[in-house]
Amino acid sequence: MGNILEFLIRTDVWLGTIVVVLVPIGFTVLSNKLKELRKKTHKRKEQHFIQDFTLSPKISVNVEQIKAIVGDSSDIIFRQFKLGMDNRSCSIVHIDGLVDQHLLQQSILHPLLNAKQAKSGLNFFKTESIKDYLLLHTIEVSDVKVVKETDKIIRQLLSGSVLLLVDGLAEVFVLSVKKWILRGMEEPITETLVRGPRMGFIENLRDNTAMLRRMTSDPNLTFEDFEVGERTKRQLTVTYLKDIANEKLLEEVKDRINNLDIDHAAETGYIEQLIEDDYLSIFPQVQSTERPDRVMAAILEGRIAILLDGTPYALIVPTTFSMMLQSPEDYYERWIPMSLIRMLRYVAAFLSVFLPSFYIAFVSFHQGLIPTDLALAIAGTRLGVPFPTIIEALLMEVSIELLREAGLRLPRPVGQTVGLVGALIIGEAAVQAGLVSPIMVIVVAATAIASFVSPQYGAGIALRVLRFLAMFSAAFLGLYGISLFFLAICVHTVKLRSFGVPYITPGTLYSKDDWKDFFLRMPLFTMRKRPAEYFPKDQIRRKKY
Amino acid sequence: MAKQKMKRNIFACLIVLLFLSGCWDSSDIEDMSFVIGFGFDSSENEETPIKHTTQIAVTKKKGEQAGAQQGKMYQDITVEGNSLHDILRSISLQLPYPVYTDHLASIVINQETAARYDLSILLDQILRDNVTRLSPVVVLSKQQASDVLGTNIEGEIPSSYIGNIFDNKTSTMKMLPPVRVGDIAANLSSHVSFVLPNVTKEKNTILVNGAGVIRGKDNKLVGYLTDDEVQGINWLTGKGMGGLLNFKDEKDNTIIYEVQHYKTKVEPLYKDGRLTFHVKVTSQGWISEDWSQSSNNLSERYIQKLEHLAEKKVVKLMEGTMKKLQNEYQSDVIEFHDSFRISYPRDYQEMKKDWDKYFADADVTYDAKIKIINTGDMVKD
Repeated sequence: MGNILEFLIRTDVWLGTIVVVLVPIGFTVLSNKLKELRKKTHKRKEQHFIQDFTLSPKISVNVEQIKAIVGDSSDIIFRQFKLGMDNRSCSIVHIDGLVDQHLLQQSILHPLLNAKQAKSGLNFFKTESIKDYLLLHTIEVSDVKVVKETDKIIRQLLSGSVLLLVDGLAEVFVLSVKKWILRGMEEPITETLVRGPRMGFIENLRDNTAMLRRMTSDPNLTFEDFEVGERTKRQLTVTYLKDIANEKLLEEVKDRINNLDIDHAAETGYIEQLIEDDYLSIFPQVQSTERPDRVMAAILEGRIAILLDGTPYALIVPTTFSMMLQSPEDYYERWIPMSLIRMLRYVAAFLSVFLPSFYIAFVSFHQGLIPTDLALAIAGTRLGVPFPTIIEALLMEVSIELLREAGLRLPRPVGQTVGLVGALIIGEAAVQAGLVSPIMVIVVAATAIASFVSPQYGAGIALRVLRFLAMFSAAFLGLYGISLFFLAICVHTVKLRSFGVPYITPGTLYSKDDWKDFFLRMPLFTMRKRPAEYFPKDQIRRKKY
Repeated sequence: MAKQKMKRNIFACLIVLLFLSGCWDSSDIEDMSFVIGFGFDSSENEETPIKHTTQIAVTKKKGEQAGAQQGKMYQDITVEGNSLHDILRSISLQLPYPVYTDHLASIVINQETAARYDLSILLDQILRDNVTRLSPVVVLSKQQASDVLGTNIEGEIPSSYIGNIFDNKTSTMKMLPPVRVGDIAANLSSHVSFVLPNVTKEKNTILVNGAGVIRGKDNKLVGYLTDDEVQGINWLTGKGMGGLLNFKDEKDNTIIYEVQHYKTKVEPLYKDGRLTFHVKVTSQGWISEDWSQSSNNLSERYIQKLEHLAEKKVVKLMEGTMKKLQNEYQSDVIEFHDSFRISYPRDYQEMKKDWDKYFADADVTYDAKIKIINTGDMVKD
C-alpha cells in the first residue's frame, strides 16, 4: 500500500498520465471538429448569377437587357445592322477573342447583310417566316441553335457563341464560331515514355474527347456531360464504355459528381478531392493522368474517366495501389523485361519509404544485426558526427525535399543551379564539415532516387510523407516501430476503398486472375479477362488463350 | 455510436502508451565498444583466479584509416577477477563507451585454464547473457589467450581472424568444423564429451592445429589430438566438409586424394552386454597429385589399386584416433552415442551416465569404400 502511495506522488507518473489522457482527447476533439465541418451546411442565398428576363419581340429591349446583365465589359461587342434588303434591324453580340473573326465576317455578317428575296415567291421578310429563312437560307454556320431561355443565352454568349438578335423575334440565334488561343498538343511532361504515343491532353475538353474518339470507332464509347461549379459552370465529361463499365460504379460516379458543391473547379484536383472516399488518407484514391492512351486502356478495363474543361489532367476511378506503380509502357514493351522493371518499382517504392528508417533502426537499435565489418565501418564514419541518427537523417531528408521543391518552382536555368549547389552542399560540404556521415548521404541519395521511380507523381508525394513517419517510428522503437508502422499502413490500406474497390486489390486475393497484372506483367495472351476487381459487364477480353 | 467513440478513445490511449516508452534501447552505433573476442587465462592470484582478455575493435574515422595503417585495429584489455560479469563491468571503468558483445566472434581458452576449470562455469555468463549470441567460435590455445589475442596481424583483428580461419573447413580435413558456443552449451549441460579446435600463435599469425578433448564427466580438458588424429575424427564423424587424403603407395610415393564427398555411417550392435560399432565410410573424390612414375597410367587396375590404398589409409587414420579416444581419454567425442541412442533408445537411457566407459570398452570395426571418379587433366603420350 505504501509503495502504491509513493508511486502515486511521483511527478513523472502524473506527467505520463496527463499525456496519455490529454493527447487522445485532443485527437478526438480535433477529428470531431473536422467531421462537423464536413457535415455542416452553410445556408447560402439561392444565387442567381444571371437575372432572368423575358425576350421581347422588340430588339432594342433585348439588347438593353443583355447589356444590363453582362455589363459594360470592353470585350463584349454589340453590332447593329439591317438585314439585307429588308429594313429589319438585327444585332450581333459576341465576345472579342473567343470568336473566329474571319468566319464571323464571312459566314454570318456577309450573308445577312446581303440577304435577298428568293425567287420562290414567298415573302420571307415577313416576321413569321424570317426564322426559317435565316436558318435555311442565310446563315452559313452548321452549329446553330434557336434558344428562348435567357440564362442559357447569356451562358452561351460568355462561352464564346455569337448571338444573333432579330427584330420581331422573341428568340435568339446562337451561332457557334468559337476560336481562341490554345496550347498545341505536346508530350505529357509528367508521364513521359520511351515507347508509346507522344500525345497528351490539352486544356480544351472537346479536343480531349476528340483524341479519345480517334483511338476507337467503338460506338459504345460514351461521353456524358455535366456542369460543375455553381458560378463558373465548367463542363465536365464522364467517359466510359457503356457495354463494359459497371452500372453501379457509373451510378456512383454520376451521383458523386452531381452532389459536388463548389463555386469553381479550376482543375480536376478539385473534383478529385471532392469525390474521393477518405479525405484523411495519405494515399491518392483517384488516378490522374495526362495520357489519352492511359485513359483509353482504363476505360477498356471497365473503369471510368472524368475529364474537365480547362485542364489537361483526366481522372480515372476506381484506383488501387498497384496502379500507382504501373506505367503504360509496361504493356508496350515485352513482358519479361517489363515484369522485372515493375518488380523493381515495388522494391523502389518500399525503399523510398523504409530505407532511411531501416538505417536508423539498425544503427541506433540493432547494431548486432549488421555484419561486424559493416558495423565497424558505419561506426567509423559516424565518429565525430554530433547528432543522433534521427536528427542526421531528418537534416538530410529535409534538405533534399527543400532542394526538390526549390528546383521545381524556380525558372528552369536557375533551377539547375540550385540542383548543382545543393548537390555540392549536401554531398560534399556536409560530410567535410562533419555534420553528417557519408553513409547517411548514400542512404538519403538512394532513397531520393528510389522515390523518383514512381510513375505517378501523386503516389510519389504520398510515399514521401510516409517516409518521415517511418523514420520517426524507427527512431522511437527500432525495427519493432517499423513493423508497427508497416502494420498500420496495411490496416489502413486494407480498409481504404476507392469507389467500392479495396485499395490494395488484387492483393486482397479477390481474384487470382488479376495477379497476372500485379507484381508481374504476364504475356498479353494470358490476360484473357478484364480485371475482375471492377466488375465489368463484359468480362472476356479475348476469346482465345 | 457512443460505444465506437469509446473504443476509439481507448485505442488511442493504448497507442499513446506506446510512445511513452520511446527510444528505450536507442544508442548510437559509434557510442559503443564492439567486443570481438574473449580470452580466458588462469592467474596465480587466488583471489582473482580468472585473467580475462577483452578484445575491442577500434573504430577509426574514415580517411585516417587509409593514411595510418600501422595503427592497431583493436584494443586488448586484460583484467583479473573472480567473475566474468564483474570483469566485463570493471572494463567500463577504463572505456568511454559501454561494451557490446553482440559482435563477439571468438572465445579463446587457454589449455591450462580449460584443464583446471569446468568449462560450463567459465562460459556461464556468456550462455546466460541475452545480448551475446551463440555464434562465436570457441577454441583452445596453447599459449596464453591474451598472447594469442595480441597477435599482430596486419590489418586484422585476431579474434575475427580466428573465426575466419574456419571458413577454410572445405579445403582441409585437418581442421575440425568450427565449434560454436551454442553447440557446446548442450554438451556442457548434459555432460557429453566433445572436442574443441586448438589454435597456436606463431610469430605474426595464428594457426589452427590439433584439438583438445573435453571430457563430459567434469567438462574439463583431458588431452590433445594431433592433426592426423583430427583427420581421424573428421572421418569418424562425417562432419568434415572435404579436404585431402595423403597416402603412399608401396614404393613410398606420395599420392593425394581430394575428397569431394564422403559419408560416414555408424552401426552399433549391442548383444549380450557387448557393444560393437561398425563404421562404414564411403567416399568419392579425385586424384589431384601422384608422385609415382606411373602418373600417366590411367588403367582401371591402377585406379583400383589407388582406391584400395586410400581405403587402407582412411581406416588407419580412424583406428589411430579411436585408439587414443578409447584408451587414453575414454571420451566419446565422435557422437557414437547418438547412433547408439537411435538404435537402442531404452538401453541408452540406462547407459547414458557412464557412456564414456561403455564407449571405451566397445569394439570397433571399420569399412572404407573409396571411389576415384576423376584423375585430373592428363596428357597421354
